[in-house]
Amino acid sequence: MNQYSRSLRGAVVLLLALAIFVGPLAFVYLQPAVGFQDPPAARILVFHLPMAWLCTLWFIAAAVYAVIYLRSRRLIDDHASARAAGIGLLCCVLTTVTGSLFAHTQWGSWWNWDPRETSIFYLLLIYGAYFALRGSVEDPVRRGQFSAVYALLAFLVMPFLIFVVPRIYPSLHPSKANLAPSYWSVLLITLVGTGVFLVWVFRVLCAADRVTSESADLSVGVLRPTLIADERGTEKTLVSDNHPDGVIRSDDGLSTRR
Amino acid sequence: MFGLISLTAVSIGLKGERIDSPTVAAGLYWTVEFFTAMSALSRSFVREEDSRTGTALRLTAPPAAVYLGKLAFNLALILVLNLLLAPGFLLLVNRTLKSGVLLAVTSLVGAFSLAAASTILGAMAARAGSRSALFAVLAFPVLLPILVPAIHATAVAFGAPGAAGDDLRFITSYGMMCIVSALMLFPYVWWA
Repeated sequence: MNQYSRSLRGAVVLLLALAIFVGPLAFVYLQPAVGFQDPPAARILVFHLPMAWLCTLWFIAAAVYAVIYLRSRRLIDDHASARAAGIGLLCCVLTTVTGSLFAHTQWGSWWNWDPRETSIFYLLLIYGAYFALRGSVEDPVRRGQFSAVYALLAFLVMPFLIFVVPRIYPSLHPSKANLAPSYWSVLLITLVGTGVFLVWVFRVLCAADRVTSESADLSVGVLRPTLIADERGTEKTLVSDNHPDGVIRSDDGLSTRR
Repeated sequence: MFGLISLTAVSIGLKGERIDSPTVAAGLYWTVEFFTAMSALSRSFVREEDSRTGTALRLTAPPAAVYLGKLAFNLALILVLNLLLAPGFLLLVNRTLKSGVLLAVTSLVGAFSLAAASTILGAMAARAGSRSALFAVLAFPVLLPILVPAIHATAVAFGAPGAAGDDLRFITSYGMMCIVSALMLFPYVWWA
């Protein structure tokens, strides 16, 4: 990468980071939200809505990487799925916190099990369980398979929680809101700025995972043994060129040596 | 035993008092049901792994057959638990029923969805560390969406106003979604 593209990339990241902070500044200068019980505090929805949308998008990304892992069996794809789930969990926590603040100012209660509040709480539990599952399986291949299956199960559960439950049971959340153009512009700036910034964070984390995997001789997750024949051409041995002691172990317990 | 202990604890706590609110009674009923299911549903795969018959099963049976067999067992187990828990709850909590048919149907579809989701999760937990604790951690978030409509439908069966049709449709569709997705994903768990 030449210096020009590096500078350009740095400038783009800086602009996006500023875009995230435009949201808080605009929060101070936006007019109070008309139609809500506490109009000044209701402006928090310019954070709450983007966080909720990003939470859903990152969970979809985790499920997509889970499918890619199940097809490719590359551990780097499993790591990407876990990173996407982690970022989705962060967005979920921020959605819950901002939603709770809004609920307290609007309805006088920090938490009242409104269907959408219940749904986001379920999502928090699901992704907490995802990381509990990852922490309890030591074998990386099995961990990747189980995590991918659980991420896909959770992905299939998500439409019920986000789209079906709030429409079956009465909810305090408005079904549609007419926002002023100034609100829409701040909301979109926060959404795009935060979203692209998180994509950059995701790419940095995946690059770090790739470096770590290569240094641990996982070779982006796929063991690539090579068969060589001995002098008689009959006995074949699996060797590794870059393992420190020349021994690699596959997951079925077979060992091979240089 | 866990179901009986839970019912006993609830009844002792109430000291013979009647629960007037159908929603509270329904919530207690499904709390007992859920915790009993959590302690029972993981056993099928744990037993396979402990007795080392899992390998033989992997060699002889296709994954779909294994999943459907375990699902049938879990469903039967939950239905038997319901047959014991429901009358026990009504007796020990001094609760009368407005609609026994609705309670039976709610218990049936609830058992169906509980078994559908927990079978594949039990397979995962059986092959990971800290099995029983991990199963509860994995299963609760996936099964909790069944809890709200099940409590509402049971409350209607206990005499709360309203209709339970939407709740039963939600639970049934959720269970069917779990079965279809588990059938597609179970081979990856079984062969891991």
